[in-house]
Amino acid sequence: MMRRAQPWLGTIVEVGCIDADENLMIHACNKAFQSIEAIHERFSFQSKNSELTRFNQAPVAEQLTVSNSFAELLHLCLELNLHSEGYFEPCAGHSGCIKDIELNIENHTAIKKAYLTLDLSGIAKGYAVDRAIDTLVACGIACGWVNAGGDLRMFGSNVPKLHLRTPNLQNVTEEIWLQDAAVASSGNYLNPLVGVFNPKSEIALNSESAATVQASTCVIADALCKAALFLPSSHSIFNTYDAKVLWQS
Amino acid sequence: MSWPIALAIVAITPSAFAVDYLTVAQARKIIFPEAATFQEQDIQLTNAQLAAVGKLAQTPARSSNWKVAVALNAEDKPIGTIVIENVIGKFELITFAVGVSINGMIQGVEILSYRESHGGEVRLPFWRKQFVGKSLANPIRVGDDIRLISGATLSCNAMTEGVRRIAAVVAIAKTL
Repeated sequence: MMRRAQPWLGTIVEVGCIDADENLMIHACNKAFQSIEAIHERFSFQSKNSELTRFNQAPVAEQLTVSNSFAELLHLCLELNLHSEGYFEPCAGHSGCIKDIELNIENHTAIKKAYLTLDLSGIAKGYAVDRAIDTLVACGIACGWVNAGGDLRMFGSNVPKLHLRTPNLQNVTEEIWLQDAAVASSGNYLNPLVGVFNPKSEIALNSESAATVQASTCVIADALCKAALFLPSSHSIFNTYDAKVLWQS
Repeated sequence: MSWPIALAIVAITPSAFAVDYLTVAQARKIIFPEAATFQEQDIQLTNAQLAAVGKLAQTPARSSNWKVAVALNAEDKPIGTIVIENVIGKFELITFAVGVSINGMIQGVEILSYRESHGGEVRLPFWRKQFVGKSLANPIRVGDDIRLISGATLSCNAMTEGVRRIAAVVAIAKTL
């Protein structure tokens, strides 16, 4: 088994794999971290040179060409925004709203119909985890996981145990076993000053609010754990994406 | 035993979570796979150098004593420097290795051990002291050590700062 961790995406990203061949594990982890780095560089809100920053700085009402992965993620964000009644809102805390983006998924072009600031922090970690998992699988690893600061996905049998950290920071939950699935959590309790806002009222969540969602991909778990802070676990969006709310407070 | 290594061996209690990732030797090999040997060096920064590190890293230099290891290739030529550092973040204590190549670029960052707890206790000396002198022979780890945690995302600003500081130390101390 190999477990490695590096700082990416503004948090700590762990890559783990179980294989008899140590050199293969080193190679696969290196490649997985390279996948994370590529996503980090494309979708970083803080970086001056990321594709996201260039998109945010581009003029309104002009046709902008975006990369395949940018178009793919944007398409998903628009869909999630619709299904979540606007509670998944990547412009929250900044300005504008995502539905003012007109995306042409086939041509990979987008038009900002109004001024807006897109921040993919609520979904890019999950997307990066999925790309890193793809990389581990492509390298021939049979069992592994990627955990980007709590947004995590596992594949193969023999996967590690999982606990959820509770918002009071005193406990973790009982063990959860996941196979070929992802979970992600959200909450304000670690960073109350820069934490999560209700995108409709623009009021910050209280420190006890937290949610954890399980899904088959990490990008969905990551996005839906924000929606689960505001929507009941019975809401149709969780069924639509075949997701399950594991914790809600 | 120095405390960075002792820290790697801690108990999992309901309020704390710890992971050991790589040993120093494994991290060296991963960051500089072409290195044949590593030569340890003690660096003592002068006050002027400390100030220069602070300025370059845009964060206080913290310490004037640094233990580094210079990576040498098969021809005994230096190819980079490895520095081990500890940072205390908001809720976590992290030991990590940074490799700086001969041209001053960050070659790799690997976390060696990570300990998360709830808040202030990591800053308390008596709490830290409990790990000093512990070794693998001390059965203080409760349960299985392969665990993953999902929860609100921790930021790693302290570590990012730490990496910047190390790049500055290597540049100012001219280890190569």
